[in-house]
Amino acid sequence: MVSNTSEIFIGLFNQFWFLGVLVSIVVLGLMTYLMLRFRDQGAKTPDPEDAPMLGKIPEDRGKIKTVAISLTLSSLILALLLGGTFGAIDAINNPPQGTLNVEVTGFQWGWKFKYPNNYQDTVMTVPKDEVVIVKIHSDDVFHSFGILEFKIKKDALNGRVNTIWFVARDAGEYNIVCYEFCGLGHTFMRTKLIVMEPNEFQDWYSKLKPGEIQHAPVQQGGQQP
Amino acid sequence: MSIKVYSSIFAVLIGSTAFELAIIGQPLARNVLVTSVMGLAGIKALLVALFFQHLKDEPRSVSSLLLLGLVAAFILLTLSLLSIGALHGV
Amino acid sequence: MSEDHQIPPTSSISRWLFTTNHKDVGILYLVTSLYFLFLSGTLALLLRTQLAVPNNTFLSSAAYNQAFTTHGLIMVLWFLSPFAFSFANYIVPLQIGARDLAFPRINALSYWLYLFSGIMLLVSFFVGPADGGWTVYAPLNTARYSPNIGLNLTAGALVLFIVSITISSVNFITTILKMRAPGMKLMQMPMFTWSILITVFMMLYAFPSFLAGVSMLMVDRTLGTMYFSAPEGGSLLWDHVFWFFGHPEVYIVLFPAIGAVGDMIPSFTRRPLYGRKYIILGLIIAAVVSFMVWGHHMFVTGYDPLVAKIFTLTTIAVSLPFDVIVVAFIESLVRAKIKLKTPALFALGSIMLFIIGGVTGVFLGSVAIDHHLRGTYWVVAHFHYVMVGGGAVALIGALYYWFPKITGRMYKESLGKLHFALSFIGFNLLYFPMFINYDMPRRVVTYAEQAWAFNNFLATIGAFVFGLAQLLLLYNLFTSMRSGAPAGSNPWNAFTLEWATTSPPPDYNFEETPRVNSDGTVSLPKLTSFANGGTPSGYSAPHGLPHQSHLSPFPIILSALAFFALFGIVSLTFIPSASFSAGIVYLWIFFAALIMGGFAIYGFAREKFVAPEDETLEGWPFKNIGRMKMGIWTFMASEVIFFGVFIGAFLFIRAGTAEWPAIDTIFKIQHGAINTFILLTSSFTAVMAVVFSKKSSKGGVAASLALTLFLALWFLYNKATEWQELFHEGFTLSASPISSTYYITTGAHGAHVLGGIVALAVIIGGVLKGRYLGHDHGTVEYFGIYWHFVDIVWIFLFPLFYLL
Ligand code: HEM
Ligand SMILES: [Cu+2]
Ligand SMILES: [Cu+2]
Repeated sequence: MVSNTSEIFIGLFNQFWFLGVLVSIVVLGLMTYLMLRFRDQGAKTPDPEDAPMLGKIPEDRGKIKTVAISLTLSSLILALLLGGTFGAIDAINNPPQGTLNVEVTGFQWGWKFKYPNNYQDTVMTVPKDEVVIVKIHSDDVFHSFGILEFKIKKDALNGRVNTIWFVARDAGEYNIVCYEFCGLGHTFMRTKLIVMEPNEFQDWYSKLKPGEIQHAPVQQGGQQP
Repeated sequence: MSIKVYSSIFAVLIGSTAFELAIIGQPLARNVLVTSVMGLAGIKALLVALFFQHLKDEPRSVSSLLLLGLVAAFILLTLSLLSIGALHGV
Repeated sequence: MSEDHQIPPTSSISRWLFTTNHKDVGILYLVTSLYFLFLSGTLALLLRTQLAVPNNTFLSSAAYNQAFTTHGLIMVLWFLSPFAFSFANYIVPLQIGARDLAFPRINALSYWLYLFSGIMLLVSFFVGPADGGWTVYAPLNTARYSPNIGLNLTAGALVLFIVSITISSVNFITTILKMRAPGMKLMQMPMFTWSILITVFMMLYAFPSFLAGVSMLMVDRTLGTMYFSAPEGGSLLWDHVFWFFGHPEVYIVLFPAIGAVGDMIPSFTRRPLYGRKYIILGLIIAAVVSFMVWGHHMFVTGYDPLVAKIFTLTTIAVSLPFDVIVVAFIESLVRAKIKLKTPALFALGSIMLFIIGGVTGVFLGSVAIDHHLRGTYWVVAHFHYVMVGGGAVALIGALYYWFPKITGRMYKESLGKLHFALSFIGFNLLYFPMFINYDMPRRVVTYAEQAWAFNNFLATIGAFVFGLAQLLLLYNLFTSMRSGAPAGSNPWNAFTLEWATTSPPPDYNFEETPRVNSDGTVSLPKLTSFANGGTPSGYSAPHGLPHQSHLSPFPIILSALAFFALFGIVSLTFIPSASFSAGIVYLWIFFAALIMGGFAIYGFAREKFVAPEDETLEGWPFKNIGRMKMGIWTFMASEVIFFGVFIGAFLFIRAGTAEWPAIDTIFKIQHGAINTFILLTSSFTAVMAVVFSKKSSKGGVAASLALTLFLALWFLYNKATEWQELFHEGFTLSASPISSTYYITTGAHGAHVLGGIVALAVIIGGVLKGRYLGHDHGTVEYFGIYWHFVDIVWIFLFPLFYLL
């Protein structure tokens, strides 16, 4: 797994997926079976005794028992999923002590990252195996800051600072994507997340000059693919 | 309904408005102030609805229609304010 | 024209322009909504073509954004609900044994407003389309970030559309609750009628929130207020107001489909629906809870974690009633004799697709999972499975099902089955791959990831299969309409009342009003051999009531004028100040339409249009209240939400504002207090007018109403001077979120006062001519209901703005 957040997501998603597929197969299978089993085969299928006909509003049929059983079953399943969800969301929402705080600002159309030493960049660089806290904000419209492979996102709003946190597990390059439509350049409002080995990161970070801006400034319209 | 009833309701409406104005000048805690002024407004609104709009005499289903609307608006208000932390400490 | 109860033949244009007959209006809805389906479907095929392969350049970003925005808006608003309401119009009165809707002219008005709103949307599509998605998020939707006239026109189109929906829901609520065949209890109504009843209730309470939101957007864009541009309200305010409407809206498009399935299942399984009671109960519960789940569209906005948990809980809970409904549908198949005719295939297929949509919705309902799935193709797949699969597919089944009733002819069965097979396969090929692409962001014009390429390609193939298959539907219906085998009155051997009359039914629906007996049997009217279009000489209206009118020119005239008035005003504020002459033109369009609209409303009010109120009809729980009064009260319920949302927006912005001005600094208590006393007094005079009217005291009514009018004018005069003072102090509309909320909230109230003034002038005119007295006191009373409501709103606005 590439990060603790993708771990949380995939663990929970698999629970949902397993139960969802199970329920779907059972229900859809049952339905198909019933459709075939009770299809009209002419004289072979007797006419139901309570067949509706014009001139009479049919009596209600149906037992509360069926309803109760199906409700209990699905409540059990849903309660299970709810439990998992609440556990996961508490983990997502409550960052431990962070080692690195990065401020990210979304704008039409790109991302800016600011480090504690005031260094600014258009690419996000973090060490692996350390708690990274991201403070998300927007300069203009509604954006959503998401790290594709880390399976985590939070909206970037003007007038509000939102927080996510993660611990990256593998060094490498990942994709930062805007997940809320924000105008003409939305599609290309992407950048990279670079995860470095901790010592490599220390090395990189210590060489930065505060206030410096690395990489090319993001152009209006973002980078084209 | 008689003119007398309407007139007394009217008098109460005017009186409670005067009362609202009187409270405002008093050195009351903010939440006491808010509750009493909005409470008075609620009572006035109720009086107008029940007597002037004759909701009192209409089938209960009519007031239920309006009540449902009020409840819906109230849900929107409460949850949206809660969501931005505006009701904390109230 | 309207006194004539003879409708012109269906070949005559004037029939289609002026008809108020619910069946004609239903057909108009049907044709228009299908037009929008194919239009919007074409846009969807453009979108899918662009996404077929990575790095494609078939569409530019701009074109792509406009295409998906218009596609979404049309499909959700201008196609799905109107399509469902074509059946609601045609079938519901038949199902409850009524002759027409409660307010036939209002019904025609709903249609024409819908058509003109659609035209305005199309105009916007050609002059500079909106491009923010159907959710038009803030602040991208403000003039600063979307400076195009297209979004102004779209907002105008939405206003017309919402007005259409609102009056239509009032109409259906009144009809269904007050005009059922004698003896028909609520629980005996067919499933489709039930679903429409629940749907219109959701519409009544959900759409005013949208209207308030769109109104705020419109004033933001035209007058420069700051609801959505300032951080104090901004993105989150729009989110709340939009989704508070938006979530019920997705059920609004779904429920009629569930109802139609509920009617089709008994017809094709030859057994009564299993657990009917529980299905109805489930629908009602889901409808209620649908107003408490909107926050699941905002899970990643970073709002309060406790609120996120509440919304997770309500969202998961709302899937339970659907579970009951689906289980009951499936249980209905047991020991049945299932005839897999085309409508049955679509109905059952739709249930299957809905199941997949529902299960995948539960994933999204989990706030934790949504932290990845939000904004991805998983969401796109989910809502297409529920809205297209659960909604549109079932309604297409309904079209096959009721086609014989509407045209009197059968469609071609084999072609219908082929249509189903291709649609079902195409649908799954189109949308299932999107689940697998759950990393891919939605609303992107292209992608570079090879990992997503294959699934996108599959989806595009599926889109073309699904899209082209719909041509079979058109072909089938067009040819069968003329040459299909005669259907007879009840081809499916169904039990609901629409099948108890000829196909197509005569103008007046039933020879005699059907009657439901206490043992559940129905006394059916005898079938006449007259098809739609003629009034047989032997026919007499029930109990010697006058004949129902079926024609009025005012609905189309009023809608056209409303179109031009809105068109003028939204365009006016957009043109650059340089082109002064263009501004004059738009201003003229606006004023001309407004003035003519005044005359048209007067004509509408004075037109002799007969819609007899039959006292013998079943009207629980509104038996003891007139149709008109009930309609007005129902409308008032929607007004409660409308103002509730304005007040809510004010409090929301106020909560986000650090420094609120101390009392009596900007808003002088004295101004508010005087106006409060004025309005309270005017309520008293208005209620006295009713007293005098009942006593037939012409002078008394005239005097009290004149006094009311005077007080109302005084109120507005005070308001105007107050505004002028504030403006001079630099407290303008665009000064701050504080000023924005103040002007617009009290302005919306002031507009209602103005409406009251116009009504008062007309009523006083009538009173002087001796109308509205004695038995005819209704009008004065209805005015009072409205006026006291305006008073009540002020009772709350006064402390909120001036005292606290
Ligand atoms: C089983 C019950 C359902 C659940 C639990 C559910 C849950 C959700 C959730 C949580 C979302 C938000 C996803 C996101 O944006 O991140 C969503 C989106 C959506 N759902 Fe459902 N849903 C259910 C049924 C339905 C039904 C019945 C419909 C309509 C017929 C529907 C239509 C939609 C639409 C249109 C959206 C997307 C709106 C947009 O962002 O454009 N859902 N659903
Ligand atoms: Cu974006
Ligand atoms: Cu929803």
